[in-house]
This record gives sequence, structure tokens and C-alpha cells, in this order.
Amino acid sequence: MATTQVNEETIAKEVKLTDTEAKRLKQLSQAEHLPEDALLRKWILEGLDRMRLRYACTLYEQGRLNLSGAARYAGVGVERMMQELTRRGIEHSPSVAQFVDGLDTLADLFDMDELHTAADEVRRREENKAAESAQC
Amino acid sequence: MAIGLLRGSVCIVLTQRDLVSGRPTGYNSLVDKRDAALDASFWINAHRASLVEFLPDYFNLRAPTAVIEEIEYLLPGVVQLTPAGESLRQWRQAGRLEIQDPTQAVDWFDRGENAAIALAREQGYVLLIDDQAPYHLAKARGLKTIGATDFVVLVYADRRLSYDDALSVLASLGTAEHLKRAAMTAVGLLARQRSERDGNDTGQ
Repeated sequence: MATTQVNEETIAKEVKLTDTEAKRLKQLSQAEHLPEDALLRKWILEGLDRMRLRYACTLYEQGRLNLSGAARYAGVGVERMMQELTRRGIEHSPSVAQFVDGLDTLADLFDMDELHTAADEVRRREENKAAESAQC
Repeated sequence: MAIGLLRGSVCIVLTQRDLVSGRPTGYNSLVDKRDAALDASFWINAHRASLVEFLPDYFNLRAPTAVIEEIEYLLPGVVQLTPAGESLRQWRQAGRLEIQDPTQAVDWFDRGENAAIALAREQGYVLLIDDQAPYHLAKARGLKTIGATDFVVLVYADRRLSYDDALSVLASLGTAEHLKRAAMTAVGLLARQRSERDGNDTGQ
């Protein structure tokens, strides 16, 4: 992905580690050929992005944000947000009932009676399915 | 299509739709195109399923600035648009899509959805949207609302997609599995109706 350099002032944050954690950081720093502070910064930024995305998904699922709002909150595009919701199994598309209503709308708009027939049949099957699950 | 006898000769009356149906190439739409307000979610889904090329045959597309900005969104530091964003930019530049903003905003959701809903509401346009909550509210407020899944079924019903292609397009949409299954059922029902009407196998 092509990128441009963003110049922004940085501020220092202190992180306290145990001896064991510090040794692990040192090992990884050597393995990655990156200074420890650069490595820590990379992980923090990746973690922040991940957490913001996760929280945005939660807020969407709770109905507190819509797609654009969730994307803006997570700092990603709407397309990425849709992919992330799909990946997590969070429904964001219209429901089956809305889909069937949409077919009726299209049938009226474009004078296609066959869409009304298909909509009625899908609606009937969905109702049967719901009735069967209720019985179970 | 209707077939009857007129003074001893066979008279076949074709509707406009019969003339359009089954046309293999060079589709010349005879349907009355509708004005439609586009939301980002619909465009992204339709682009993902390679459906966007069918849109101008049915709709005069209008997109508010806020929706354009959402689709052509660039992350800080990134200079390359997503494929859906790049495609929209090309459509815009080619004049295949008109930018139109509502005069009065609504404040129900976020900028993009608000603008698309407000435009559809004040101009009486169809709203093309694939985001559940705004879809629901727009519908409840009396707007004619269509999702990408509906659009696949329309294109199939209009014989622009084969049965197999319609199923494959539905599978590639970024929508819930049970919604895809419902749409596949609708396509199957249409295929059966067509088969019964035409007296041949439609490939189902």
C-alpha cells in the first residue's frame, strides 16, 4: 500500500516491565533489528487500531453506531468496517423481511409482477420457518 | 407475451419486457429509469459483487458529497483508493453519477446516511442502502428503499444474469448468510416460474 509520511509531534509514555518481560523485549528487538522503543511504539499503535476496531464493532452490534459512525470511530473506511463486521459475524445488511419488502418495492417501480410473487413466497416460507422454530 | 388468433392468422403480442428479455448482448433498457440516492454501503456491496455496471440501466444515480467522501475515503498516510473508491471516482469523472446534496439535513445517523436519506426524502428518490438501521428507519418513514441483494434479484428477473451467475453474485455479496439464502430462494422461484412460462429449462 502506498503511503505518505505524516509528521506529527510525539510525546513520551513510560512503560514498566518485569525483568522477564524486559528480556523478551530485548530478544525480539534483536530478532526484528528494531530498537526497543520503536518496537514498543509499533505494538502500541497496532494494538490501539485493533482495539478501536473491536470497540466500533461492539458499538455497531449494540445499535449505538451505524456503519459510517463505526468506521469513523475505528479510523477506517466504510468498506473495511463492513468487512470487519462480516468477519466477526455481525449482521449489517438489511434483514430478510427488509429484503422481501425491497422486492415488492422493485416490483412496483419496474412493473414486474413476478417479483411480487417471489416476495410473497419467500415471506410465506420465512413465516413457516419461524412457526416451526417456535414449536420446537 | 400473449398469443391469439386474428382473422385466421396467429397474432403474437409482445410487451416491452418481452422484447427486452433474453436479449443476449447490447442491452437497451426499456424500463423507466428511476432517480436514486446512493449510500456508501450499497455502492461498496454492489461493487464487490460486480453489479455496478447494471445500475445505470435502472437508476439515475445521485450521490451526496458526504457519501462520495465516505467511499473515496483515504486513511491518513494512504494515497491509493480502494477498488470501490477508485471505481466511484471514475464514474464521477465520466459523469455516470451525479453529485447532489440535500437542501435540508436530517440528523438520524452519520453524515453519509443522513445525506442519502435526506436527498431521497426531499426529492422522492429511491434510496439504495445496505446498512440495516438506516434502511429500517428510512423504510419506516415511507421511503422506497432497496438493498444490493434486492438488486441482484431484479437483474436476474430482467434476464440480465443467468441462474448460475445470479447465485454466484449473491454468494459474493458481503451480506448475512440467511439473507443470501432467502435471495437464492427468490431466484430459484423466479427460475421455476420462468421455466413453467417458457416451457424450457432455465438452468436451475
